[in-house]
Amino acid sequence: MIFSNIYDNERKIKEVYKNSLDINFRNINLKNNQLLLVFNQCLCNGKSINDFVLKNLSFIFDDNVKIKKSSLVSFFKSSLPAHSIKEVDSFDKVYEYLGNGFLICFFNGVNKALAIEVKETLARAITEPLTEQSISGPKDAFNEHFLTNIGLIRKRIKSSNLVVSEKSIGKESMTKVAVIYLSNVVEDNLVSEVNKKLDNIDIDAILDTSYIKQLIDDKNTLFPVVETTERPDTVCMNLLEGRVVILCENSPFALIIPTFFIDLFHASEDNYQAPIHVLFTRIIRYIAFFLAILTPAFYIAITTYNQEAIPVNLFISFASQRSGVPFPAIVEALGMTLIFEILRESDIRMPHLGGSSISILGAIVLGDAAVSAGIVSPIMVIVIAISAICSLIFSKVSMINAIRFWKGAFMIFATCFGIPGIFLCGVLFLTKLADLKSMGKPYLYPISPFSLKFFINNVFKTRLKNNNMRSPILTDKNYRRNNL
Amino acid sequence: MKKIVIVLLFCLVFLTGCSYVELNDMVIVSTLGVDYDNGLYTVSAQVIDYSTATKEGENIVDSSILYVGYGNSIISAVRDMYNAYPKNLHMGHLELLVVGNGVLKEHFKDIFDYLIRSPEATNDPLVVLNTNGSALEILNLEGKKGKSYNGKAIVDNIEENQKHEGSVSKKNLEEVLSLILQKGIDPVIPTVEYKENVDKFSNTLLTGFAVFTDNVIKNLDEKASVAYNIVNANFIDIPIITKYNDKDVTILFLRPSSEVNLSIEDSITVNIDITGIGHISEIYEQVDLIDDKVIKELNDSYEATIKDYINCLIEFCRVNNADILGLKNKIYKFNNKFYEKYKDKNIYEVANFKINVDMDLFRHGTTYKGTIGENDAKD
Repeated sequence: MIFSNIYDNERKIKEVYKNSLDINFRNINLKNNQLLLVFNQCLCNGKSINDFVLKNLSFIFDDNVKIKKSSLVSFFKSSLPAHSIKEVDSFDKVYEYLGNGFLICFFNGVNKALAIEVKETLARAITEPLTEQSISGPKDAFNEHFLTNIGLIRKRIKSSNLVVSEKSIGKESMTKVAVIYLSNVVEDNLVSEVNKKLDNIDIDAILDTSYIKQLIDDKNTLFPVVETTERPDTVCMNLLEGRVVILCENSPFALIIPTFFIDLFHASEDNYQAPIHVLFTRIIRYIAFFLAILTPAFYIAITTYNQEAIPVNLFISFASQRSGVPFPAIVEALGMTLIFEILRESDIRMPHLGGSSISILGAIVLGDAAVSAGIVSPIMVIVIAISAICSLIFSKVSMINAIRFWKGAFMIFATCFGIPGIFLCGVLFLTKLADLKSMGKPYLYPISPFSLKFFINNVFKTRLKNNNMRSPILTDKNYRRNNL
Repeated sequence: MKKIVIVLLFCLVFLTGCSYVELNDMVIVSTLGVDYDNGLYTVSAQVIDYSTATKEGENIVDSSILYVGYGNSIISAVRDMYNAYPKNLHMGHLELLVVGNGVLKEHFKDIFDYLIRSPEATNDPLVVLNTNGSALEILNLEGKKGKSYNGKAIVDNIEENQKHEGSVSKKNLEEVLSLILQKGIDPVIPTVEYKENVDKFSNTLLTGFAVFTDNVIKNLDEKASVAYNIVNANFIDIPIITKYNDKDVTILFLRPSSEVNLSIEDSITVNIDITGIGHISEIYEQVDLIDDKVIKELNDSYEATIKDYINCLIEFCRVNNADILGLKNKIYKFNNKFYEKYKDKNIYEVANFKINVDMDLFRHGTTYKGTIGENDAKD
């Protein structure tokens, strides 16, 4: 409960914030009314405080106006030309608003305060997407500003059916989290399930949407069951399909729920290209996925167990290249993969200029020096390079990580059992995938459960004018897109 | 899921490494030769030598090393190689099996047993026989021509010969074994022999076919070998030399089709129908090829020559009692009640052969359209 004495309020806030330097106090005495203004100078815009609060105070407390203490707050609230003013009656709310860039105005003799929004925009400008670039289509991406991100969605879907509900998660961070959906499309159960998962989160701070992603994922899955995107257009497309989107304060990434395995093969570029071209690029992605996972394993299997599967000339080529290499194929493959992963990791962390040096160094070390030194065979460099390049076709880090894990698993099985081992691991891989669910929805949809129409549309792409139905697994109302 | 993982981990720990071999630890056997003399088998393995190859993968198929092992059985001879040579023999890419004349006399069928039973060995290497010498002399040509000869060259020769010469054809191990195991058919296998300085590139020569009948190997002559491929329509284009006005005319036999039918009533009648296309490729007589009469005479001569080839084959079968065409096999399969009656007879002596050759001679020869082509002639 707020004290009626402003000095008590000041003392209390100073105690709580331990005299933090960013919390500013300003006592004002106007026409026998004593006011205490408290604000966080890092989060508040000084110009807004001067122009919209301080300047107007003198006009509001005119000599001719007699205001009772009891109506002081409501009078002030109605008179001040600010776009967002809230009445506050508890210190918890005071701290929350202070953390959100509000100025708190205490009135002496009144046990209420006003929170006036004078927020400073501490965010980047809207820039191009960094991780999901596309040649065609919109070029804007989310940034760390919560309202800007919601605005980027709202300006694309102007319908009143677009619901943006807000939550505050994190005991210390009190991070604002928005749950966004189209109320006339989304399955009500899905919304309640998402809300339930969010309400169950018990954590001190949410610093990014990836925190939420990890917290709502019941199983520790390798493949992502919740997709992230930094593109507002991708978010809107998913909202129109009946999915729920989660945005989080200070994060440029949105979460899309539910996500299916097949979605990982889609790129934002696909939405703006003709189906025939998308067909080609998606086939390339499927091939790349299998090459990324299976190439090293297959090489190990056919060179150590099933040599008869190799055409004789290729066999001779492999054998001549491997002669003199001191390590078994699995050690060679794992070593090369490890070096590649180290290079990739250092390339990501290094500044751009240093990154290119790392790439050159890696290319020389892996491609030439290691071969010349007889540590690895040229064919192994090719095999690992094919696998690595194919895995990099996917922009999602979680997908790359999953590929990395399964590539290793397939390699170990191939080393132990040869080609039958690859099939064995393949069964395990499919079992794991089929076992996954994203918010209760089968992860392998539309492959299992099979739906021909949505299989064609998801695995390949149908023409936009024929794509007039929503997936029944995502929505239970308004199946037709043109019948809203 | 945890149970599956536990089972898989168990398999990984306890069931691994059964047939794990690194490429470095093996040599590729491209050709295997088997000889037999005085109770001792000699197995010669021509292994591909890639030790001299660069890392960039220069062509190293031509270079090979010969491993030789001796033993009382084929497997002991193969194991004998491990005493002298350091690496594991990989027979999964075996391309050629050369059988020497010593084996042919007594143990021809035995050599298949080892290869069929051996899990590492492929079942489809081509089989060739050296009826006049040993397998080792075919494989061990080092020193005679400066560098070792690779069995792959013999394989390539057989393939090309089958397509364009017709005196041999590919017979792989499974096919030969299948023919041996079938009733009423005698397997025909290509033959190769060593010839000193045939030319500067090769010291081996494909000599035609041999047939394995009654545990005896008999060589077909050149005409009978070509006829065997004609009856089986097993070539792309082979030259047949015929006579026109007592001068040689070479006509390419293309698009062959053949059918061998057998009917048994009072006697056995065998109908051999051969059809195909002839392209005149060489003619030394100044003749008017757009003259229908000339073409007909050429065609008749051509058909008669082909019949003559087939008659040679039938005569060979009759003389040697070798059922190359598998006539008894046809009786066994389609007229089984007569099989007992004919199984011990020389069927080529009792059967009536009706050979019907229907060739379509292209008057413009191997040129697509000459100055005066076929279309002009029709006008």
